[in-house]
This record gives sequence, C-alpha cells and structure tokens, in this order.
Amino acid sequence: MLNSVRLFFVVMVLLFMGSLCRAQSVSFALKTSPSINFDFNTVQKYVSGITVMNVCELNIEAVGAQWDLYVGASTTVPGLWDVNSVYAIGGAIPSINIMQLQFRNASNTSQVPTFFPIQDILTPTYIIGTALAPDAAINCPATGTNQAGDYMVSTGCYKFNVDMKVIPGLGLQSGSYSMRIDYILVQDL
Amino acid sequence: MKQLIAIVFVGALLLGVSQKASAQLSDEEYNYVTMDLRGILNLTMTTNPQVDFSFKTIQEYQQGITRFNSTQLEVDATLAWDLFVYANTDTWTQVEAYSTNGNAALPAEILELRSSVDNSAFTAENFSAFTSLKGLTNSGVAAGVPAAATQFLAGAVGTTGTNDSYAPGTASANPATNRFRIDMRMVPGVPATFPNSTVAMAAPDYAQAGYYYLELVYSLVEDL
Repeated sequence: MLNSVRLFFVVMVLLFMGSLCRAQSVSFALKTSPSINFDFNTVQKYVSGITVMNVCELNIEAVGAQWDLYVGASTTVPGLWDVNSVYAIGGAIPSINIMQLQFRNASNTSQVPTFFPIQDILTPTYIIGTALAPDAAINCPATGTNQAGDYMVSTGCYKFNVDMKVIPGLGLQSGSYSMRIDYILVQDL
Repeated sequence: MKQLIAIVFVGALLLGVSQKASAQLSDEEYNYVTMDLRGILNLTMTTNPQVDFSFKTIQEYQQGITRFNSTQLEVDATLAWDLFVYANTDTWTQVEAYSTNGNAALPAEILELRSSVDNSAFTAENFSAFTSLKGLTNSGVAAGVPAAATQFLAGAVGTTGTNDSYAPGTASANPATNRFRIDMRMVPGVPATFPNSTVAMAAPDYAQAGYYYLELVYSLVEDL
C-alpha cells in the first residue's frame, strides 16, 4: 500500500514537471481588431486607390516556441468580396485581391516587404515562415525572424504595423461590400 | 530496485505522452473591412457654355457659320454609360425682335451638331455628320428619360450587354471615346428659311430678324 502511494506521488510529480518543461505559448497581445471602411466616392479614388496606413498593430508574444504568421481573407465565396448591397445593374463583383496589405516593422523582418494582394485564407500569404514545418530557425533581426521573443523586448522584430490599400479601378459593380481579414499566429510545428 | 526502475519508466512514458499530446499553439486577430463603391458619372464641359452665332452679312446668311470645337465634353464614369443631347424647347426663344417681318418661331432643328466621337455603330440617331438637333418634343425625351427617337452622342437606348453603352473609363485615359469635341453650324440662307433644318418653319417661312437663344441639354446617364 505504501509503495502504491509512493508510486502515485512520484508519477504526479513527474507529470507536473513535464508540464513545466513545456511552458510554451504564441499569442497576439493588445488586440485591437479594428473595423475599417473604404469609401470610393470620386473617380480619382477609384483610379488611384485609397491607402490607409497603420490600420492595426500585431504585437507578438512567443514564449519558448518558434512561430509562423500568415494572413488571408475570409468571405462566403472564396476569392470574392461579400455583397452587402448593390447600387447598379452592371459591373462585376470585386475580387478580394484588389485589397493589398503591407506588413512593416523596424527590422523589416516581413518576408513580403511591400504591398501584396490578399488571398483567400485557404491559400494564405506567409509573412513569417512557410506552410512547411519546421522552418529553419531565424534570429532577430534577420528577415523571417521566427524565434521565441516578445514585442516589448524586441519591438523591431515582434511588432508589425499593417497598412491597407485598395485600388478598385473602373468597371466593378457599385455597391457595399465586406470581408474579414484573418491574421493567424501559429506555433511552427 | 525493480520498483524504482518501474517508477522511472512509467514517469518517462507519461512525460513523453503528455508532450506528444500537446496541440499546436495558435492565436488569431481580425480586421473587418467594408468597401463602398459609389456609382459616379462626371460630365464636364471644358469650354464656355455659351456659343454665339451672329449673322451680320449676306455671305454669313448664305454660307452659314460653323463653330468648330464650340463645346468640349469630358466623361468620367465608373459605370456603363450613355450620353444624349436635346434642345430644352421646341423652338428658339426670342429675346428681342429687330423687325416686324418674318416668323419668330424658329424650330430647334435649325441648329446642326457634329461630334468627334463616331457613335454610328450604335442604333440611335447620332452626330457623325452635321445633323439637326431635335427639339424637346421630337427628341422623345420625357422627364429626362430618353426614347428611341433621342439623339445620342454615345450609346443608345437599351440595357447593358447589348452593345448599347460605353464602358466605364476616364476622359484622360480614353480620349477617343470619353472626350467629345462638338462642332455647331447654322445656315440661314436668304431668305432665312434654314434649308438644312429637318423641321420647316410655318408661314411666313423665313426668320424674323432678332436676338434668340436655345438651351441644349447634355445628359449623361447610367446605361439602364
């Protein structure tokens, strides 16, 4: 009986230690999830587009884990904006790739350094890492930094500012449209 | 001793299992984006809106007066569009008479228009060559809505998809289709019967000397 109690006690201690050993996490800190509206009410805006800088900040806390960051659009019909209402008869429903994103930080660690067209979340764009796992370890401040770190300690590598640009051009159907942009931070397993 | 080995083995096994069973860590953040695409139709007249014809000599009466590029119009549109033109009245409005002879009711059709944009591929009556401008009644326009008889500078009456409209675009990028240079001509003749007019004047069939004006309406509409 005494041996059984001892055995149970030792096993529990080992389990507790095991959980301590794998104290890992990846998370966004200070989430903002802002909503933003692009209002195209002049021909000039249609042709030149609308750019909004610093739409949101992504603050990354990765504790003891290598990580990937990717982004994509979630819509009802993959590849097309969701239609709220239409104002005209003719024209095409806009595709999501008229929306362009740019990820910036002080160390330029984004693998996609300029504006790029967004894709559906099923085929996302990787800002850090790749779909393959695990990726090679890259330390701050190199491009593609994916090692554990904290935005408060290494702001240049773990804090991203996201800019958005939409250039609809002419010929789309007038109306109100929407989409959700998903930013996914995931452990690189 | 055997118990110790068993304890270590079981512990190591559980530790390994617990690590293998841990899920991939992840977190997500979202932006909700809305986009408002307004329908825009911009019609800009880049020239003086008033065009004057002053007939002071017999030669001007006989040969007429032609005002080249008297009106320039530019269209910027985010929608498929049509552009039509008509006179806002059936006859010219007399401001002042210089004589007691002649007819003061000059039909709108004595004014001829020609457009630099060839719209002859469309079914509507157009201005590829000098053509009498229809007055309000003859144009068929009612409450600003065109009809089959309406004269079009671009497009025709009808709906999208049947080759009856011009594509969205800007004047700067599409000068051949979105920038109109309109010539105007009037030939009174002697006596001033305006022989080119498609509507003849009532008796007496010559114009009363005087000062007249006519308002033209250029209407840019979505292709409905």
